[in-house]
Amino acid sequence: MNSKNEGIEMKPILKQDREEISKYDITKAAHPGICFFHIFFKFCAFFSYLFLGLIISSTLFQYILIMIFHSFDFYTVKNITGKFLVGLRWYSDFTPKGDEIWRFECFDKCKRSKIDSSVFWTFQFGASCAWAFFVFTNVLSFEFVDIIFAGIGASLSWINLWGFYKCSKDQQRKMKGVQSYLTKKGLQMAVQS
Amino acid sequence: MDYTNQKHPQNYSQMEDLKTLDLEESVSETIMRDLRMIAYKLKYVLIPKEQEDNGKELRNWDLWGPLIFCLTLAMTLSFKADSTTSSSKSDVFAIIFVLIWVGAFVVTLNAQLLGGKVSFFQSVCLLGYCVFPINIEAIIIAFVGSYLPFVVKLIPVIICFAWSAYSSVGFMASLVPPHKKKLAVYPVFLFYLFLSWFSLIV
Repeated sequence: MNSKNEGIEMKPILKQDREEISKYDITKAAHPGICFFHIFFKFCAFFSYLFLGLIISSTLFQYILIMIFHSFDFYTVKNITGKFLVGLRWYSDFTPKGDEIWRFECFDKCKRSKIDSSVFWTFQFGASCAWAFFVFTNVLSFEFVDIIFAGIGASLSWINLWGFYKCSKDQQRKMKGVQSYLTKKGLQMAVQS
Repeated sequence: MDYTNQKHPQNYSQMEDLKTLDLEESVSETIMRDLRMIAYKLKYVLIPKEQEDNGKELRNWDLWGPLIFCLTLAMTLSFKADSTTSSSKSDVFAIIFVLIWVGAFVVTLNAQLLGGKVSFFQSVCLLGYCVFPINIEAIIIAFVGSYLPFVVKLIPVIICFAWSAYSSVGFMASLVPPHKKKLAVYPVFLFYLFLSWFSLIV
Protein backbone atom coordinates (compact mmCIF):
# COMPACT_ATOMS: atom_id res chain seq x y z
CA MET A 1 0.00 0.00 0.00
CA ASN A 2 1.13 3.52 -0.59
CA SER A 3 2.48 4.63 2.72
CA LYS A 4 2.77 8.23 1.58
CA ASN A 5 -0.98 8.71 2.00
CA GLU A 6 -1.91 10.44 5.19
CA GLY A 7 -4.10 8.76 7.61
CA ILE A 8 -3.14 5.17 7.02
CA GLU A 9 -1.80 3.29 9.93
CA MET A 10 -0.87 -0.19 8.90
CA LYS A 11 -1.07 -2.45 11.87
CA PRO A 12 -0.03 -6.07 11.79
CA ILE A 13 -2.99 -8.28 11.08
CA LEU A 14 -4.31 -9.47 14.39
CA LYS A 15 -5.23 -13.05 14.88
CA GLN A 16 -8.80 -12.22 15.85
CA ASP A 17 -11.92 -13.02 13.90
CA ARG A 18 -12.53 -9.44 12.80
CA GLU A 19 -12.62 -8.10 9.27
CA GLU A 20 -10.53 -5.46 7.61
CA ILE A 21 -11.19 -2.95 10.39
CA SER A 22 -8.25 -4.46 12.20
CA LYS A 23 -6.00 -3.42 9.36
CA TYR A 24 -6.86 0.21 9.67
CA ASP A 25 -7.02 2.25 12.79
CA ILE A 26 -10.40 3.85 12.67
CA THR A 27 -9.50 6.50 15.18
CA LYS A 28 -7.03 7.83 12.64
CA ALA A 29 -9.83 8.49 10.17
CA ALA A 30 -10.35 12.13 9.43
CA HIS A 31 -13.97 12.05 10.53
CA PRO A 32 -14.49 9.18 12.96
CA GLY A 33 -17.85 10.45 14.17
CA ILE A 34 -19.23 10.58 10.68
CA CYS A 35 -17.87 7.12 9.89
CA PHE A 36 -19.71 5.93 12.94
CA PHE A 37 -23.01 7.36 11.80
CA HIS A 38 -22.50 5.99 8.31
CA ILE A 39 -22.37 2.54 9.82
CA PHE A 40 -24.82 3.14 12.66
CA PHE A 41 -27.99 3.73 10.67
CA LYS A 42 -27.26 0.83 8.34
CA PHE A 43 -26.71 -1.38 11.33
CA CYS A 44 -29.94 -0.21 12.95
CA ALA A 45 -31.88 -0.84 9.76
CA PHE A 46 -30.54 -4.39 9.47
CA PHE A 47 -31.03 -5.06 13.14
CA SER A 48 -34.63 -3.90 13.17
CA TYR A 49 -35.38 -5.80 9.98
CA LEU A 50 -33.91 -9.05 11.27
CA PHE A 51 -34.26 -9.05 15.01
CA LEU A 52 -36.76 -6.47 16.17
CA GLY A 53 -39.56 -8.99 15.86
CA LEU A 54 -38.01 -10.87 18.76
CA ILE A 55 -37.95 -7.83 20.99
CA ILE A 56 -41.12 -5.94 20.20
CA SER A 57 -44.27 -7.88 19.54
CA SER A 58 -46.04 -5.14 17.64
CA THR A 59 -45.25 -5.42 13.95
CA LEU A 60 -46.42 -1.86 13.48
CA PHE A 61 -43.53 -0.42 15.45
CA GLN A 62 -41.14 -2.66 13.59
CA TYR A 63 -42.30 -1.26 10.29
CA ILE A 64 -42.18 2.31 11.51
CA LEU A 65 -38.66 1.91 12.85
CA ILE A 66 -37.41 0.17 9.73
CA MET A 67 -38.77 2.98 7.55
CA ILE A 68 -37.26 5.60 9.82
CA PHE A 69 -33.86 3.94 9.74
CA HIS A 70 -33.97 3.52 5.97
CA SER A 71 -34.74 7.18 5.46
CA PHE A 72 -32.17 8.37 8.01
CA ASP A 73 -29.53 6.18 6.40
CA PHE A 74 -30.32 7.51 2.93
CA TYR A 75 -30.31 11.13 4.10
CA THR A 76 -27.10 10.71 6.09
CA VAL A 77 -25.22 9.00 3.30
CA LYS A 78 -26.37 11.35 0.60
CA ASN A 79 -26.00 14.67 2.38
CA ILE A 80 -23.51 14.22 5.16
CA THR A 81 -21.36 11.15 4.81
CA GLY A 82 -20.70 11.50 1.10
CA LYS A 83 -19.57 15.09 1.54
CA PHE A 84 -17.26 14.50 4.46
CA LEU A 85 -15.90 11.02 3.86
CA VAL A 86 -15.32 11.02 0.12
CA GLY A 87 -15.91 14.62 -0.86
CA LEU A 88 -18.60 13.91 -3.43
CA ARG A 89 -22.14 15.05 -3.86
CA TRP A 90 -24.93 14.49 -6.32
CA TYR A 91 -28.24 16.25 -6.64
CA SER A 92 -30.76 17.43 -9.15
CA ASP A 93 -30.70 20.93 -10.44
CA PHE A 94 -32.70 22.78 -13.02
CA THR A 95 -31.60 24.86 -15.98
CA PRO A 96 -33.03 28.34 -16.51
CA LYS A 97 -35.32 26.82 -19.13
CA GLY A 98 -36.84 24.58 -16.50
CA ASP A 99 -35.37 21.26 -17.52
CA GLU A 100 -34.10 19.06 -14.82
CA ILE A 101 -30.53 17.86 -14.84
CA TRP A 102 -28.53 15.79 -12.41
CA ARG A 103 -25.22 17.05 -11.16
CA PHE A 104 -22.39 14.90 -9.90
CA GLU A 105 -19.62 16.82 -8.28
CA CYS A 106 -16.50 16.35 -6.27
CA PHE A 107 -14.86 18.71 -3.86
CA ASP A 108 -11.20 19.41 -4.45
CA LYS A 109 -10.14 20.60 -1.08
CA CYS A 110 -11.39 18.56 1.78
CA LYS A 111 -9.47 16.54 4.26
CA ARG A 112 -10.01 12.94 3.38
CA SER A 113 -8.20 9.82 4.17
CA LYS A 114 -8.11 6.39 2.69
CA ILE A 115 -9.80 5.00 5.76
CA ASP A 116 -12.79 7.27 5.30
CA SER A 117 -13.32 6.33 1.71
CA SER A 118 -12.79 2.64 2.29
CA VAL A 119 -15.27 2.67 5.16
CA PHE A 120 -17.73 4.57 3.01
CA TRP A 121 -17.52 2.34 -0.05
CA THR A 122 -17.25 -0.96 1.82
CA PHE A 123 -20.29 -0.38 3.95
CA GLN A 124 -22.38 1.18 1.24
CA PHE A 125 -21.67 -1.63 -1.19
CA GLY A 126 -22.02 -4.29 1.48
CA ALA A 127 -25.34 -2.95 2.69
CA SER A 128 -26.69 -2.67 -0.85
CA CYS A 129 -25.76 -6.27 -1.62
CA ALA A 130 -27.21 -7.49 1.66
CA TRP A 131 -30.54 -5.76 1.05
CA ALA A 132 -30.64 -7.12 -2.49
CA PHE A 133 -30.07 -10.58 -1.05
CA PHE A 134 -32.95 -10.11 1.39
CA VAL A 135 -35.25 -8.98 -1.40
CA PHE A 136 -34.29 -12.07 -3.35
CA THR A 137 -35.00 -14.42 -0.46
CA ASN A 138 -38.31 -12.69 0.28
CA VAL A 139 -39.37 -13.02 -3.32
CA LEU A 140 -38.56 -16.69 -3.22
CA SER A 141 -40.51 -17.23 -0.02
CA PHE A 142 -43.43 -15.02 -1.06
CA GLU A 143 -43.32 -12.75 1.98
CA PHE A 144 -44.79 -9.72 0.34
CA VAL A 145 -44.73 -7.28 3.21
CA ASP A 146 -41.08 -8.00 3.89
CA ILE A 147 -40.41 -7.44 0.22
CA ILE A 148 -41.63 -3.88 0.62
CA PHE A 149 -39.24 -3.01 3.40
CA ALA A 150 -36.26 -4.89 2.08
CA GLY A 151 -37.02 -3.51 -1.37
CA ILE A 152 -37.09 0.05 -0.09
CA GLY A 153 -33.78 -0.50 1.69
CA ALA A 154 -32.25 -2.06 -1.40
CA SER A 155 -33.45 0.65 -3.76
CA LEU A 156 -32.31 3.50 -1.50
CA SER A 157 -28.88 1.93 -1.02
CA TRP A 158 -28.40 1.24 -4.69
CA ILE A 159 -29.55 4.73 -5.63
CA ASN A 160 -26.94 6.22 -3.34
CA LEU A 161 -24.30 3.84 -4.63
CA TRP A 162 -25.09 4.72 -8.23
CA GLY A 163 -25.06 8.46 -7.50
CA PHE A 164 -21.71 8.36 -5.76
CA TYR A 165 -20.26 6.03 -8.36
CA LYS A 166 -21.08 8.57 -11.03
CA CYS A 167 -19.51 11.29 -8.88
CA SER A 168 -16.34 9.28 -8.46
CA LYS A 169 -16.09 8.74 -12.20
CA ASP A 170 -16.24 12.50 -12.57
CA GLN A 171 -13.53 12.77 -9.94
CA GLN A 172 -11.31 10.30 -11.78
CA ARG A 173 -11.88 12.17 -15.00
CA LYS A 174 -10.78 15.36 -13.32
CA MET A 175 -7.71 13.68 -11.90
CA LYS A 176 -6.81 12.39 -15.36
CA GLY A 177 -7.37 15.85 -16.72
CA VAL A 178 -5.03 17.33 -14.16
CA GLN A 179 -2.43 14.67 -14.83
CA SER A 180 -2.51 15.12 -18.58
CA TYR A 181 -2.29 18.89 -18.14
CA LEU A 182 0.76 18.52 -15.93
CA THR A 183 2.32 16.08 -18.36
CA LYS A 184 1.83 18.49 -21.22
CA LYS A 185 3.33 21.30 -19.21
CA GLY A 186 6.28 19.14 -18.28
CA LEU A 187 6.85 18.19 -21.90
CA GLN A 188 6.61 21.78 -22.99
CA MET A 189 9.16 22.84 -20.43
CA ALA A 190 11.43 19.98 -21.40
CA VAL A 191 11.18 20.93 -25.05
CA GLN A 192 11.82 24.60 -24.38
CA SER A 193 14.83 24.02 -22.16
CA MET B 1 -25.93 33.42 -9.35
CA ASP B 2 -28.22 35.45 -7.23
CA TYR B 3 -27.13 35.51 -3.63
CA THR B 4 -29.29 38.45 -2.66
CA ASN B 5 -32.23 36.35 -1.62
CA GLN B 6 -30.36 34.30 0.89
CA LYS B 7 -33.42 33.25 2.82
CA HIS B 8 -34.78 31.15 -0.04
CA PRO B 9 -31.98 30.18 -2.38
CA GLN B 10 -33.12 29.39 -5.84
CA ASN B 11 -31.52 26.03 -6.07
CA TYR B 12 -29.51 23.57 -4.11
CA SER B 13 -26.22 24.34 -5.78
CA GLN B 14 -26.47 27.99 -4.85
CA MET B 15 -26.92 27.13 -1.23
CA GLU B 16 -24.07 24.68 -1.27
CA ASP B 17 -21.73 26.98 -3.15
CA LEU B 18 -21.96 29.40 -0.27
CA LYS B 19 -20.63 26.66 1.92
CA THR B 20 -18.11 25.08 -0.39
CA LEU B 21 -15.46 27.42 0.89
CA ASP B 22 -15.93 25.97 4.29
CA LEU B 23 -16.74 22.32 3.93
CA GLU B 24 -17.12 21.94 7.61
CA GLU B 25 -20.71 23.13 7.59
CA SER B 26 -22.00 21.42 10.64
CA VAL B 27 -24.40 18.57 10.37
CA SER B 28 -27.01 20.40 12.39
CA GLU B 29 -26.95 23.29 9.94
CA THR B 30 -27.55 20.93 7.05
CA ILE B 31 -30.49 19.36 8.82
CA MET B 32 -32.01 22.68 9.88
CA ARG B 33 -31.69 24.06 6.39
CA ASP B 34 -33.50 21.08 4.94
CA LEU B 35 -36.24 21.31 7.55
CA ARG B 36 -36.75 24.96 6.77
CA MET B 37 -37.04 24.16 3.09
CA ILE B 38 -39.70 21.59 3.81
CA ALA B 39 -41.70 24.10 5.84
CA TYR B 40 -41.33 26.72 3.15
CA LYS B 41 -42.46 24.35 0.43
CA LEU B 42 -45.41 23.26 2.51
CA LYS B 43 -46.62 26.82 2.85
CA TYR B 44 -46.01 27.39 -0.82
CA VAL B 45 -47.98 24.37 -1.93
CA LEU B 46 -50.92 24.69 0.40
CA ILE B 47 -51.52 28.41 0.50
CA PRO B 48 -52.43 29.32 -3.06
CA LYS B 49 -51.80 33.06 -2.52
CA GLU B 50 -48.07 32.36 -2.38
CA GLN B 51 -47.97 30.94 -5.86
CA GLU B 52 -47.27 33.77 -8.25
CA ASP B 53 -44.95 31.94 -10.54
CA ASN B 54 -46.91 28.86 -11.57
CA GLY B 55 -45.15 26.35 -9.48
CA LYS B 56 -41.59 27.23 -10.36
CA GLU B 57 -40.60 26.83 -6.75
CA LEU B 58 -41.48 23.18 -7.07
CA ARG B 59 -38.39 22.67 -9.13
CA ASN B 60 -36.59 22.34 -5.82
CA TRP B 61 -38.38 19.12 -5.21
CA ASP B 62 -37.57 16.95 -2.28
CA LEU B 63 -39.16 13.76 -1.13
CA TRP B 64 -38.57 14.22 2.60
CA GLY B 65 -41.76 16.22 3.07
CA PRO B 66 -43.90 13.57 1.41
CA LEU B 67 -42.16 10.88 3.41
CA ILE B 68 -42.85 12.64 6.70
CA PHE B 69 -46.51 13.19 5.87
CA CYS B 70 -46.92 9.68 4.57
CA LEU B 71 -45.40 8.21 7.72
CA THR B 72 -47.52 10.44 9.94
CA LEU B 73 -50.71 9.51 8.14
CA ALA B 74 -49.88 5.82 8.18
CA MET B 75 -49.05 5.95 11.88
CA THR B 76 -52.19 7.91 12.79
CA LEU B 77 -54.47 5.58 10.93
CA SER B 78 -52.84 2.43 12.17
CA PHE B 79 -52.94 3.56 15.78
CA LYS B 80 -56.61 4.20 15.33
CA ALA B 81 -57.19 0.91 13.58
CA ASP B 82 -58.98 -2.01 15.05
CA SER B 83 -56.72 -3.29 17.77
CA THR B 84 -58.08 -6.81 18.08
CA THR B 85 -55.15 -8.20 16.21
CA SER B 86 -51.83 -6.48 15.84
CA SER B 87 -51.54 -7.66 12.27
CA SER B 88 -54.37 -5.48 11.08
CA LYS B 89 -52.62 -2.39 12.45
CA SER B 90 -49.50 -3.14 10.51
CA ASP B 91 -51.56 -4.00 7.47
CA VAL B 92 -53.09 -0.54 7.58
CA PHE B 93 -49.63 0.99 7.84
CA ALA B 94 -48.32 -0.97 4.87
CA ILE B 95 -51.46 -0.27 2.83
CA ILE B 96 -51.33 3.47 3.38
CA PHE B 97 -47.62 3.59 2.71
CA VAL B 98 -47.80 1.66 -0.52
CA LEU B 99 -50.96 3.46 -1.54
CA ILE B 100 -49.48 6.91 -1.25
CA TRP B 101 -46.27 6.18 -3.10
CA VAL B 102 -47.71 3.92 -5.78
CA GLY B 103 -50.68 6.24 -6.18
CA ALA B 104 -48.44 9.26 -6.64
CA PHE B 105 -46.36 7.29 -9.11
CA VAL B 106 -49.40 6.25 -11.13
CA VAL B 107 -50.93 9.73 -11.19
CA THR B 108 -47.61 11.19 -12.34
CA LEU B 109 -47.23 8.51 -14.98
CA ASN B 110 -50.72 9.28 -16.19
CA ALA B 111 -49.92 12.97 -16.51
CA GLN B 112 -46.70 12.22 -18.35
CA LEU B 113 -48.38 9.81 -20.75
CA LEU B 114 -51.01 12.41 -21.52
CA GLY B 115 -48.28 14.58 -22.90
CA GLY B 116 -47.44 16.63 -19.86
CA LYS B 117 -43.85 17.73 -19.64
CA VAL B 118 -42.99 17.61 -16.01
CA SER B 119 -40.26 16.09 -14.04
CA PHE B 120 -41.38 12.91 -12.40
CA PHE B 121 -40.07 13.88 -8.99
CA GLN B 122 -41.61 17.35 -9.00
CA SER B 123 -45.03 15.90 -9.44
CA VAL B 124 -44.56 13.20 -6.81
CA CYS B 125 -43.27 15.90 -4.47
CA LEU B 126 -46.36 18.03 -5.04
CA LEU B 127 -48.76 15.16 -4.53
CA GLY B 128 -46.93 14.19 -1.36
CA TYR B 129 -47.09 17.69 0.10
CA CYS B 130 -50.80 17.90 -0.65
CA VAL B 131 -51.35 14.88 1.58
CA PHE B 132 -50.84 17.22 4.52
CA PRO B 133 -54.51 18.31 4.84
CA ILE B 134 -55.53 14.66 4.90
CA ASN B 135 -53.05 14.26 7.74
CA ILE B 136 -54.79 17.03 9.63
CA GLU B 137 -58.21 15.54 9.29
CA ALA B 138 -56.96 12.07 10.17
CA ILE B 139 -55.55 13.47 13.42
CA ILE B 140 -58.77 15.37 14.16
CA ILE B 141 -60.88 12.30 13.61
CA ALA B 142 -58.49 10.13 15.60
CA PHE B 143 -58.84 12.35 18.64
CA VAL B 144 -62.49 13.33 18.63
CA GLY B 145 -64.02 10.96 16.13
CA SER B 146 -65.43 8.51 18.61
CA TYR B 147 -67.58 11.21 20.21
CA LEU B 148 -69.08 12.58 17.06
CA PRO B 149 -71.79 11.24 14.81
CA PHE B 150 -70.79 10.24 11.33
CA VAL B 151 -72.26 13.28 9.64
CA VAL B 152 -70.24 15.68 11.75
CA LYS B 153 -67.09 13.73 11.00
CA LEU B 154 -67.75 14.22 7.32
CA ILE B 155 -67.27 17.97 7.55
CA PRO B 156 -63.51 18.11 8.20
CA VAL B 157 -63.03 15.24 5.78
CA ILE B 158 -64.72 17.10 2.97
CA ILE B 159 -62.96 20.38 3.75
CA CYS B 160 -59.53 18.79 3.81
CA PHE B 161 -60.18 16.73 0.72
CA ALA B 162 -61.24 19.86 -1.13
CA TRP B 163 -58.14 21.68 0.09
CA SER B 164 -55.79 18.90 -1.06
CA ALA B 165 -57.47 18.50 -4.39
CA TYR B 166 -57.58 22.22 -5.08
CA SER B 167 -53.91 22.70 -4.24
CA SER B 168 -52.73 19.96 -6.51
CA VAL B 169 -55.16 20.35 -9.37
CA GLY B 170 -53.91 23.81 -10.24
CA PHE B 171 -50.44 22.52 -10.84
CA MET B 172 -51.42 19.30 -12.58
CA ALA B 173 -53.84 20.98 -14.93
CA SER B 174 -51.19 23.41 -16.08
CA LEU B 175 -48.97 20.58 -17.19
CA VAL B 176 -51.06 18.92 -19.87
CA PRO B 177 -52.59 20.24 -23.07
CA PRO B 178 -55.92 22.01 -22.42
CA HIS B 179 -58.15 19.41 -24.02
CA LYS B 180 -56.73 16.73 -21.77
CA LYS B 181 -57.00 18.61 -18.52
CA LYS B 182 -59.88 16.58 -17.15
CA LEU B 183 -58.10 13.33 -17.93
CA ALA B 184 -55.09 14.43 -15.95
CA VAL B 185 -57.04 15.89 -13.06
CA TYR B 186 -59.48 13.03 -12.54
CA PRO B 187 -56.90 10.57 -11.05
CA VAL B 188 -55.75 13.24 -8.62
CA PHE B 189 -59.29 13.60 -7.31
CA LEU B 190 -59.59 9.85 -7.08
CA PHE B 191 -56.32 9.59 -5.19
CA TYR B 192 -57.24 12.09 -2.50
CA LEU B 193 -60.82 10.88 -2.35
CA PHE B 194 -59.64 7.39 -1.60
CA LEU B 195 -57.22 8.58 1.06
CA SER B 196 -59.88 10.71 2.76
CA TRP B 197 -62.43 7.92 2.65
CA PHE B 198 -59.89 5.48 4.02
CA SER B 199 -59.07 7.76 6.90
CA LEU B 200 -62.76 8.08 7.66
CA ILE B 201 -63.63 4.44 7.80
CA VAL B 202 -60.57 3.02 9.47
